[in-house]
Amino acid sequence: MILNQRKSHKYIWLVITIAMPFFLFFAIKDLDFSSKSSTLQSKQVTANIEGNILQIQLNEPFKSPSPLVYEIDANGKAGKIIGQLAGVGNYKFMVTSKVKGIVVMDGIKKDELFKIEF
Amino acid sequence: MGLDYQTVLWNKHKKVYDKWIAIGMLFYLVAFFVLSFVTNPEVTAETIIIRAFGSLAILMLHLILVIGPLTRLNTRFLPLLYNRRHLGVAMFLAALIHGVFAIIQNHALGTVNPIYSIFTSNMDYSSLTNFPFQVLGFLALLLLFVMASTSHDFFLKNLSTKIWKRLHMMVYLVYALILMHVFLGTFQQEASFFTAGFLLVGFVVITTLHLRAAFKEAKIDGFVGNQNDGWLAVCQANEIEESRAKIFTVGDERVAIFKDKGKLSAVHNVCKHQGGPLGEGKIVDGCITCPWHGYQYLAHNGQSPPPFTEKIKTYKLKIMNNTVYINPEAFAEGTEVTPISC
Repeated sequence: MILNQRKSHKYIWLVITIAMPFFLFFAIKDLDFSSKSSTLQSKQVTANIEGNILQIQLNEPFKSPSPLVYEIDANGKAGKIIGQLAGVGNYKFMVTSKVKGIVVMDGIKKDELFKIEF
Repeated sequence: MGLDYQTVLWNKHKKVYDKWIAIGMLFYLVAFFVLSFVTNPEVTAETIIIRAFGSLAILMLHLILVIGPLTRLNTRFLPLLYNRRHLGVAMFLAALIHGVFAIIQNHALGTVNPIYSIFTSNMDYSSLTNFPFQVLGFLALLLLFVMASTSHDFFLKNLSTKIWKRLHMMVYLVYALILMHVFLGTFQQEASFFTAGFLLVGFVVITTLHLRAAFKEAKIDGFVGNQNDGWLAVCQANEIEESRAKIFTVGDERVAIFKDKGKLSAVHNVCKHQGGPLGEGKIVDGCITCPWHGYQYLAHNGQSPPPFTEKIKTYKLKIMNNTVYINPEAFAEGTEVTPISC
């Protein structure tokens, strides 16, 4: 290496050595370690909406083979269809910002599997 | 050294190196899969793949980052440096598998574009604790892709050593991104003190080695010899071992003074290939041989033996009362200088 590269290496590692511990410390400073493990993914399904993205976390599969996700309409019933869930995973759907809630229905039997209002 | 470009420039030593990389990776993955299924049989195969390849990539990144300073602190580690490039590409492949499976599992289900989803699924950018850690991993993967795809002598030659080296020094930024990616992910998903502990120990080891090596190099750079009528006294002739060199700082440059068959020659210490320290190499078959990748130069003119065309700067030496003096003014690359007897 030439002199400039050796100096660059030294300054880069000085910056990393000084800066990273601050980032690491402040990243965990406000965490509550005592309650973290007990709340971890205890529900079969959770849903939330941020902006116009609906996020559904499915931790255990539904017994129904074809669970469909609908927007809740003005009457509190299944309205416009949003999409379909398959196995376990984190699903994201584009929705209109006016969505009041969602309902997951068995696509064949039309049974209500899960409902949440935001 | 090579005259033409091949997709993968293998030789016997590199094949052995790569074989050990493959065996090590395979052993780690098998051990991880078996232990995961035994200790946590409910976890899905996709999750195990994400964790196995992610942790493997981190482990390999730590290894890659300690090789450089280790070789500067102790030349016994030089064989590890010989084919570090393939280790880096293998590390990228492990990180890529981790990234692809993580994107499929977390962002490819539903109707939202997966890449858009990475950046928008968690919008808590103002919080350090809840910062979207997957964004950091994604950016690190992009940088690794750039480095892995240019890890070839074709790019080294066409980008120039200086630009190529700067490009590949992005690995330090990648390390910072991955450190935060894993650290935040560890505490945002499930507080794994083992993972956090490994990262912290790794951080201490890596930074300590790099800083120790950097300060050792700075000490060499601070060398000031005795100037005498334009000549710089550097050492006694018998301080240089046969077929080896001593390295000195002359102005802003490092110079290696080699002894070959009782005669001394001085050349610029920086190899034209990847900037390796020629003075830490030795004379092999009558040629100065770079300890990093085996590039060779003739001591008396700084030229690679035909048919190769690399050239380095040469310097004039003189001996008075067994003291070696060097003229700090370098000759043009490849200039013939008669070696001096000692």
